[in-house]
Amino acid sequence: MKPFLFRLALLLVLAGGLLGCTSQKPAGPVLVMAGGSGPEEVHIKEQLAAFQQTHPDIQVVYQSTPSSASARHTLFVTWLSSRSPEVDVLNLDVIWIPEFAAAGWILPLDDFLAREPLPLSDFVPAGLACSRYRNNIFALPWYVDAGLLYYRRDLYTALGLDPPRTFADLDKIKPLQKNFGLPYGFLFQGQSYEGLVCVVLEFLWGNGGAVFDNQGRLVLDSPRNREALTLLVDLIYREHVSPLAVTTFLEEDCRYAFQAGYAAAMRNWPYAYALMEEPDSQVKGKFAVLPPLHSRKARPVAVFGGGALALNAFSRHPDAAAKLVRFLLQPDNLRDRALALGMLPPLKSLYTDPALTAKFPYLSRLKEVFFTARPRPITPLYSFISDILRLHFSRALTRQETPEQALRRGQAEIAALLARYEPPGGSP
Amino acid sequence: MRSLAAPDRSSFWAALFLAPALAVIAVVALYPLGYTLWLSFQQKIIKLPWLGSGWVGLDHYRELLSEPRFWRAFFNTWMFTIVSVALELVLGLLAALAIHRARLLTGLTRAALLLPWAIPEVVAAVMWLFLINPAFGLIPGFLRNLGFADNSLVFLAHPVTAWTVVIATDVWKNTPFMTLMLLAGLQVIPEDLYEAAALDGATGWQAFWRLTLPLLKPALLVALIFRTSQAFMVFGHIYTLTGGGPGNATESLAFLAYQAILNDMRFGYGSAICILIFLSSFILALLYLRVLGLGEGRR
Repeated sequence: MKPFLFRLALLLVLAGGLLGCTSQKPAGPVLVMAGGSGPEEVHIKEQLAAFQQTHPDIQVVYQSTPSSASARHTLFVTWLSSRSPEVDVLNLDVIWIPEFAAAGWILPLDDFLAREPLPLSDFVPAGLACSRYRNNIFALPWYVDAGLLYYRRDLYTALGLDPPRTFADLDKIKPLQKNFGLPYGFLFQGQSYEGLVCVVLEFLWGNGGAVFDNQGRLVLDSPRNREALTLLVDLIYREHVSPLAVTTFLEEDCRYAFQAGYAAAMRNWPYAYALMEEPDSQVKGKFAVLPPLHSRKARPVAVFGGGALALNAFSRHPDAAAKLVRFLLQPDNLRDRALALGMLPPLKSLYTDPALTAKFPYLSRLKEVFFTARPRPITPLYSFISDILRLHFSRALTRQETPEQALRRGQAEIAALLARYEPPGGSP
Repeated sequence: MRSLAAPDRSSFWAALFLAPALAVIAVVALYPLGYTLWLSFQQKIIKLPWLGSGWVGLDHYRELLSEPRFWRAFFNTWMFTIVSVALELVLGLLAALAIHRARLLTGLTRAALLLPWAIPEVVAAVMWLFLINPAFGLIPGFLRNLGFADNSLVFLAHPVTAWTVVIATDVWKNTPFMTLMLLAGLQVIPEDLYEAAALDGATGWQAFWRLTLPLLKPALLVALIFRTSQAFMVFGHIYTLTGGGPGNATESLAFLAYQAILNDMRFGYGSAICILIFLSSFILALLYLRVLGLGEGRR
């Protein structure tokens, strides 16, 4: 027993010493900002250093968190639900904002904005829509994402084909494949995860369908949606334009295959552009981007994604944290971030910025895709809804359900979920 | 237990010496179990604080039993446990008998045999993911050369093939453990018993059924209980290989519990799943004790 007790005592002394070290506080507030890791972390640390130059009274510590969105979500929920004041500024995925706002975990920013306005009208509309819950602004968009269609311009031109714009244009992929010996035609993210929900939503919206209509009614089980989902399933099993393997693909699987020159077209996010333009890419200079595919009945609509900055409701230094958010949202910093990481800025004025359009030539041409991108359903229950959609879309794509069954069951399950869990006063 | 109840003086000391161990078990096993049981009767969804929390009785169990997704996972878990443990038992026993009989492996080679078992679960699963990758994987590549069509080589796109992959990798990884446990059991069976059996004219087959198998029971029981309860809680494997897909075709109960607790933050509902997992594997362990008849064994 004695050596054990001794060791325990030693351990406690050591632990106490460690805690003592970290609790030596400097004069001003110490902010903790939580965000992604990897290249993102390297870059943000440069910006944080610049912030400290201009704000010597505030010290900022960066807390890197998992790059995987679901792992980061779990971590943030764990912190915030235990009312931890440890982290001040949070980098949120836009789909979490209503959930965190409804739970009272992030601060409304209206007071800060009233004191020192930001040019809100310059923000991409979908970004602001995602950041609002009820009548308050709870976050500010930091970078934006929107679904894009990548296609092999060189091959399309060689056969004298027009670029693919509508669902019907997918028919032309077959001759293209045959002519150039491409193993794959059209690639998309088909594994059972959030990416699949985005892909299917773009097909539904591009066919004039929706999950919720403008009045907020649940309209998942509709003829337009059935048509769009059937089309997507048929791409695999009837047209053989998309390989069965897409049902196991994430973003990077699609990019690898497309970058290796295996496919004629691909649905992906903007991040792939810069990577596929790198010198060792097989498709460098051979591809171009377009808005997502759509039917003749409707306009193309991209799914809006991206990240936003929010303040922990339990933060001890909200004013200092607001200063940091304001600093990070300065156009110069947003431009730097886009150039370094390919994460596109939330400000409309930057889409014609010379430095950015030089690096991403499609930006000014496709700016409408970003400005008109549509958010996924804005509700605190989104993660539950997305889980239901993901399961049924995946089951439809692997023929465990017909598209009709998938939409009907999905509709019933979402209706039951809303009836049970909806916050008082309904979803906004 | 029996010796504890015996009336002699030593029982007092036995109880005293056992007390620390029992206290540890109470803290690390019984308390969490009791807490999970209590949670399973509570509504507690920390993502949705406006719902409040409180006693909901058996609601979560009723909800679970009415959900096709739960029953699918329940069936999946039993199927996975039975099929993979049975395969591991047969293969492990064959391997153990061969190694024991032939005495062909010494320390180093036996350690090599254990290699798949020593590889971390997720690392092994990722390795298998590369092997079965439909575009550049070794296994689809081999089958493609045999003339299989591309679409038949996407193993994770179909429930049956996805399960085949999950079970095959589990068998690959865990058979060595079974082999090692059974080999240890075989080595304590005295050689002279076989000599006596041979003198009495027993065939090898008879010796196996009448001697080897009964004397292997203790080792068999330990190996089976270990493997079965592990298999019943299969998670990391499925999480990495299939993510529960396609759709929800390869979701296990533990996967469902993970989804409910760590993804949806539905602690009450998730705890109810955990209690059902616990009950199932507890019943399985009791069944083993009963069927293998070691309850009263004193060896």
